[in-house]
Amino acid sequence: MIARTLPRMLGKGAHLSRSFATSIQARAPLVSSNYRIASGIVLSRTPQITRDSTPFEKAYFDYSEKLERQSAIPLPADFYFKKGSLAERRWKEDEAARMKAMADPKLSLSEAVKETQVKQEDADVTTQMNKFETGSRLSEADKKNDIKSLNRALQRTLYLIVKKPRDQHAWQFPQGAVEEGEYLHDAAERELEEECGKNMDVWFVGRQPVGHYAYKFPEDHVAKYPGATGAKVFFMKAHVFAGQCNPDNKEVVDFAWVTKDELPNYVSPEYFNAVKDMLSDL
Amino acid sequence: MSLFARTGRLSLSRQQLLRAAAPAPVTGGSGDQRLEIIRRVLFEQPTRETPNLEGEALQQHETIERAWKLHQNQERERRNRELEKKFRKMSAAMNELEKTSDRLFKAAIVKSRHITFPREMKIPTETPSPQGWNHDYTPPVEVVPAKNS
Repeated sequence: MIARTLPRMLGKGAHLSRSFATSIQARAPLVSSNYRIASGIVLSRTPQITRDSTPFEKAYFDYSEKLERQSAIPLPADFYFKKGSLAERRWKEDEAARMKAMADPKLSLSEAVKETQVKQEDADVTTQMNKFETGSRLSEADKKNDIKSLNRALQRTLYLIVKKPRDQHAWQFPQGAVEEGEYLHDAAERELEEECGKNMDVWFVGRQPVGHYAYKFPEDHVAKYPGATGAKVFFMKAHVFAGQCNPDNKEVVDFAWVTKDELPNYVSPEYFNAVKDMLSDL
Repeated sequence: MSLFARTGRLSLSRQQLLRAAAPAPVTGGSGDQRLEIIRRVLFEQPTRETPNLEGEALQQHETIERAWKLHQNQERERRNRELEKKFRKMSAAMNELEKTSDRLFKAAIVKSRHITFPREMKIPTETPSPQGWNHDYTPPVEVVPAKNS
């Protein structure tokens, strides 16, 4: 207990509420009408890239692009390109590809240009040297299905779930009991740091919970620790911008970054039903 | 007085511009080609012609546009439904919190005085950063005031 309180007193105890919380000697978990109050953390990594367009969207974009081109003012090429220059030759090649794509309803303008540009780059050494690197939309972590990497499922929102060392209900969002004299948002920040380490750049969105979940403890648990028959978890929303979860291997033994669709593979159906509405579909 | 001088100077430079833009007098055939091109690009923009759709083509176009509007509508409704679910969940949680603990509820509805928005927040891009996610982040070291003991 002392070991847990001490670093916090030394740490960033600048919050008024925090310094109040630390000054209280007895750090009993907060119990209200036989329910232990707990604070859960819904830590999300927002989508990093735009989602893939559906075939219909692709077809529509292509259609409107071609329509736009039909009515567009032709580019005064002799103004922009020097006669006989490399840039002019390239532009002419692109233009020829575009003309071909205009006649072909299956080929989009941007795809046609992309093809010729790949050819040009292969042929030319200087462009290869000055090539502008972009990341791949399908990451290495996706190929290896590395659920611990934050580089996975770049189009989707990822949520952090942690595994507790027990057989049933092992996987869940990080959570911990709110102590006497502590507020929900303080408890959320403290628990996240205790369970998942300090090496994450995290921003808590507000002080209001985004959802809650109440459950009963198993009977042998109640017999062992009397005082509360169940727990009420209030979930606080947070975003992660950098860093990685670093479990303490005591309270938490494993972690994963999963999308909403993958969550039912880890948690129980009751838990999923309780939390699904506060998670983003994409 | 100064105003006049200024306008006079301006009109002079404009005259020069116009003279430059005017078709170069044919002097032995070696006139600057570039001026001719600039003049043409600046002043002789061909007008944009609107595609003239008729009959079946027009019908086709309208069908496509209608389908796109429908798609956008569905997408918007899907997003609104998702937001509504989140909102309902939030208000249910707040109601539950009010019943559970007055102290926690009051703390939750108090807005922080220092409302900040993280500049690290970013919108999705077409391709990800080539460096990928920064997994090795460590928090900045806090400056601990020197102890006097």
